Amino acid sequence: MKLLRALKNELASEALTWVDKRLITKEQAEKILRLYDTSLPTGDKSARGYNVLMTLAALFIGLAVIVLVSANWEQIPRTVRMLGLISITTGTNLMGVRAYRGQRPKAGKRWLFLGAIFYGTSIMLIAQIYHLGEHFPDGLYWWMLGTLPLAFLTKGFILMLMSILLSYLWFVVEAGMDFMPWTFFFVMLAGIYYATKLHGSILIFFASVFGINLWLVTLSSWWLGLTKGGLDTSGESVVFSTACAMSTVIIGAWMERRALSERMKNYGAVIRLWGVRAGLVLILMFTFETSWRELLDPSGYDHPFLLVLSLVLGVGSFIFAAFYQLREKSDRETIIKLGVTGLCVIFWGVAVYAAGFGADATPGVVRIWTILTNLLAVVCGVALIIEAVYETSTAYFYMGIAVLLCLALFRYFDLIGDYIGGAVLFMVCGGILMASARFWKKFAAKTKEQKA
Amino acid sequence: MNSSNVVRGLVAVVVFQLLVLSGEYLTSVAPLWFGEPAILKIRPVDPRSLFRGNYVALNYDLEEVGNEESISELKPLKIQDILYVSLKKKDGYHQAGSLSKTEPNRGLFIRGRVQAVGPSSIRLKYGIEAYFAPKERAREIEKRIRKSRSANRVPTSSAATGSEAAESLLPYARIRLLSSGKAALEELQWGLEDL
Repeated sequence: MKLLRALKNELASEALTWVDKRLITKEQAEKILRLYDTSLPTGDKSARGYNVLMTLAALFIGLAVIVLVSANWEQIPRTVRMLGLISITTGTNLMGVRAYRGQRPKAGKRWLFLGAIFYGTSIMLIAQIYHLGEHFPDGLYWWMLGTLPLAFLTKGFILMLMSILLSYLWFVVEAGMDFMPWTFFFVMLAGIYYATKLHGSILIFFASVFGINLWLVTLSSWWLGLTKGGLDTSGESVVFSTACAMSTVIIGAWMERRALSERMKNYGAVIRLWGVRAGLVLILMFTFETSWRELLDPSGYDHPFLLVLSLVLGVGSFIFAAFYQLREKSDRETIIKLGVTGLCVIFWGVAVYAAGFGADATPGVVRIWTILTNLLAVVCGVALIIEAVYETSTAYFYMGIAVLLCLALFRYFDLIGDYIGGAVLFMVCGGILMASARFWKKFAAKTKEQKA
Repeated sequence: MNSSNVVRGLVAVVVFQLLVLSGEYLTSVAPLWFGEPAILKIRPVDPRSLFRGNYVALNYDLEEVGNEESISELKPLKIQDILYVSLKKKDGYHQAGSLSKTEPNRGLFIRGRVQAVGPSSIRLKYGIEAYFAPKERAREIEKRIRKSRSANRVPTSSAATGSEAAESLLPYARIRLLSSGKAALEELQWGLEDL
């Protein structure tokens, strides 16, 4: 039910249809929608279409100017070109300011969006005119710095999205050139502030939270000297990024239950959903022997500190979340749910410990870890289906089904051991599924009895 | 925030953008207006940048500098450290002289950033490695450079025609240097007859 929050626009539109059909009153519709931090669509739909089309038109005009001037218009003297760029940028932005002064904020945002495109184009083209080759990511950085305040002042979504995209681009290029993109973190914090206080946007919130995780992983690699600033893909960094993702998902789950506003609960639900999806993809990746062989290779672990930090972060945030959850509600459903999550966390913790401090990548050890991961994937699939049925959540239900079907497909084409080994594994998985079904049936009957 | 404050804030951002663009312009033209001229030998290739259009990437002879002795004197050296290369005019163009971590007191010098440190040389970048030109012109320059390279690899015959001789002229970059060592690329030229 909580996941419907991610589809609130559709829900609002449906509610309007119900009101039109006199199934519910307008007041009832508003009350229902308030639960999901939304309201009945107001205003003219054609006005919304007009605004979207005009913003896209501004984008295309901006792109046209970029392409036009990128053609190195050499016939025009340098100074004239330069003054032309500055004039067009300032003029367009001043049109935006004028629209704001005239109480036409929507038109103002469109002008400022176009102005922001011209501003970035001017930065790049002045560099082109004067053959500047020194560290071109600086251009992206200054572009972002000139756009971000506009987004905050106007609360304009498209300007904020542009700033976030520019900061990601800057991050990738800067890190790729062996620099540590320090200020990226603050831009992401600004994104979170924008999405929580100024203008609700799941996209901006999610991009900012993801950005902070990315920055933390990059920082750890840079700090330990694994890279000079770029992204690192060694075993340690993979472990640390999973720990960061785990704690983010746990924070998301906490927000979903405990946050004061519906908007924050909504964000929490989205983080948890995507976090679970990412976790399942990771588990499925490790159902292959190759992944374990690479992870258990001792040559990728020279910094025990990062592993210990990852363990503390991952396991610690789970213990913290479980404690709060049990204090709030300690029925059998909650215990089962926490049990499955705890199993995944313990499995991850032991794997990290084995990879960093214990096991070598011998064929026997790799085989054992692979089999255990396959069984864990089955348990997760079953748990998701059961939880989805209890919480009437379609997304989790199909995720559970997808995990089990993917696992069946993977193991059919990539047998662990020989044919006999593969058959035994399929049998064990089938056994777990049957046992789960029987347990669930008994459990549901008992709950029904107790309620009666 | 009330609307007059928003308008004030927007004007401040527009002024900030104007300052960024003006700052970029002024730092670009300062070496061209006030700098000392120098000629560097180049070795180009031709990529295209998503943001910056077409350009000929210029690799300079000055890109690899130093020797075992100077490197051990300059150590410790980190990537992106700034080094100053003094320039000495020899055979009609400027070539690398001594290296230092501080600005030399006299003579012409160029400021570069360390890209890599090898056992017997240091790779530097000077911020003048891109020559922007329309696609066709960039290709033309590239073609001409390749021709002049191959022509100069083979010993010139005494019967070289006028056009062959012109095509064999080597490419050079005409740059200007501020007293801080900051360089700006002025133009490309063929051969050294302009000097």
